[in-house]
Amino acid sequence: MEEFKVVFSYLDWFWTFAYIILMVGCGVLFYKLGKRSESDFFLAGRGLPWWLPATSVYATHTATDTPMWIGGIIYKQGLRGLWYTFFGMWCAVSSFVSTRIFRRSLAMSMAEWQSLRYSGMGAELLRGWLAGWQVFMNMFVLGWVGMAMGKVCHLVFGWPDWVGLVVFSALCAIYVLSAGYWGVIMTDFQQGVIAFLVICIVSVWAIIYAGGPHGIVNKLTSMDQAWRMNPFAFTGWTSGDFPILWFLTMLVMAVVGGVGMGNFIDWYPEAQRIQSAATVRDAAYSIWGGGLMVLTRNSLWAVAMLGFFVLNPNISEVSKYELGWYQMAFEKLPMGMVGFFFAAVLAIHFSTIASHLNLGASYFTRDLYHHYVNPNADEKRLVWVGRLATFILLLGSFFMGSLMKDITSWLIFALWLQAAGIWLPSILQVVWWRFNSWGYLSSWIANLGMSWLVVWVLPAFGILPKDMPDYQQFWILMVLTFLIYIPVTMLTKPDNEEHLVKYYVMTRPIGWWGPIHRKAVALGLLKD
Amino acid sequence: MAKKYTPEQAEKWGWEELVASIGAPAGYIFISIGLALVLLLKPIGWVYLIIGIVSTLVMYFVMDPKLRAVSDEYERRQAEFLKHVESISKWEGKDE
Repeated sequence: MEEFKVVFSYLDWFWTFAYIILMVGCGVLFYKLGKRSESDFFLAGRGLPWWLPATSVYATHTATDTPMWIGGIIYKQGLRGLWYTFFGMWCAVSSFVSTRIFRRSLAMSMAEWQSLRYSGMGAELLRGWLAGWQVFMNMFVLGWVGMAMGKVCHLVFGWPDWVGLVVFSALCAIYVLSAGYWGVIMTDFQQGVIAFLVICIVSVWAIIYAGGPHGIVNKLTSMDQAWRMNPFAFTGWTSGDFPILWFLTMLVMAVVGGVGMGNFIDWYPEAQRIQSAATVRDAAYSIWGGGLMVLTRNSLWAVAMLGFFVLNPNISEVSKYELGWYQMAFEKLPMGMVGFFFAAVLAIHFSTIASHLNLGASYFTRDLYHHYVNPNADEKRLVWVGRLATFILLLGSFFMGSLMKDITSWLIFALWLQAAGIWLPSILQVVWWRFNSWGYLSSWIANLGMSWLVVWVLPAFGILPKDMPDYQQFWILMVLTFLIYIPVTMLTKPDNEEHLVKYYVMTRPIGWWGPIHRKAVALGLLKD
Repeated sequence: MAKKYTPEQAEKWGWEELVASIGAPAGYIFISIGLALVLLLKPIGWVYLIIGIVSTLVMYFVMDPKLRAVSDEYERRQAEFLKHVESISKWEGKDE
């Protein structure tokens, strides 16, 4: 596969500039709504119909690096690679369980929810920790997505990677700085529609170019690669690239995980969309609809990548084949359409950058500045602090982006390991009244330490095998952290009962809340 | 006919959530795998796709009436609360 440069015609540049003007124009258009209050700047006033946050969920999770990540997995694994993307199934369960509970709490962020669910010093420490963590994580996501844009621009124009990172993140920041979440959600809707249309067009175009469905099937069969069309092509219980135990781990993790809050990194942007929905029902369908659109999109990419595989079957370098979908589009689309495709790439990019700029700023403003630094700040000041935080996140993302090289390995590390030790505690905090702030805090601390131990330190000393599959690391991490946070929970006092009753009456959580329910009934707050 | 729920009935977790929690992920899986196989013109893809759509419809018809009841009752109370919050927190217009 040779390196190539795309030549843009005037029409291609027209699409590109027209799109940038449209998006930045949205920021100006919604400037007045965004500056009204903190709630408007970060939640669009909590009045959105379900399809707006749903499209935003879809648009946010369609980032510049997503076709690279999914393309890379499908190139390597065939259609069974689709299961890697089914972590998103947690959205299906969450829509009717944790989304409902979280929406009723009215917490502006997941960090704020900690101080509603827990009480005392432990709750404050958790809120501060989660807020700081989220500011960092959003900067990290902005860096890796920005760097993916840098790679795309390098592929298309031959620019150095940092140019794509800096120029397009900065352009996107214009409308986030001016209109906050109003700008994010309104542009996300347009970006979601544009991105979905273009993904359909480009993928179908790529399939046709590769010989059409029959051509792809025949070529794969003649290459003795027909297993690539089988989503259930297991390689044994524990052996090979696609073992059944990995598959079962993923199913349990995704489906049961939907009951919890905060056990997937995607929960945090979703939490913002849940609170921006007008009603509990709107919140539920926004998460369900967004998740479905994401998975449907992956199917289109997957088949297009099979087409890319039959045309380029011998690429061994990950950084080459993960750009396959982009290369198909830039090489094979007719002149004039290339610019339209690039505008859609900008849509994909802007939607993710905008969401994470605003989300990170919300944790900084609501949970650090407003809660700890200046609780008496008026709304005007909070909006300005939100803008300042957005700008700091933008600058931080440039630094983060310069540190990243291999997108696929970073993403898989983040998906599996950042959440492994807190996966169960994140469910327990929703379903079990006795699980307290010290238990949850200890699970976070234990997870950070244990992740390094299990992934790097123990293999280095030969205590664990060096090539241990990630799903086995997941179970080990779960057991090791369990041995810490359960004793911590049981050896420390439960959260304040009055505080728990208040939380219970407001959110009506699922699970083991018997003593708190009985107390609420005894106080006349609920009927038995 | 959609079942009618009182606010008290709707607040309780029941079999409807269980059905939705099975139907919704099943819908996700079968629709996306079905779509990929349909794009390759595989007949089994249509079977998966239909199973996915049926799972989704079952989820919707079982869960939606309850969700509406939960939502309506909660939003009534929340609207009162938010109206109060809005009235004390807006800065725009205060100094005009």
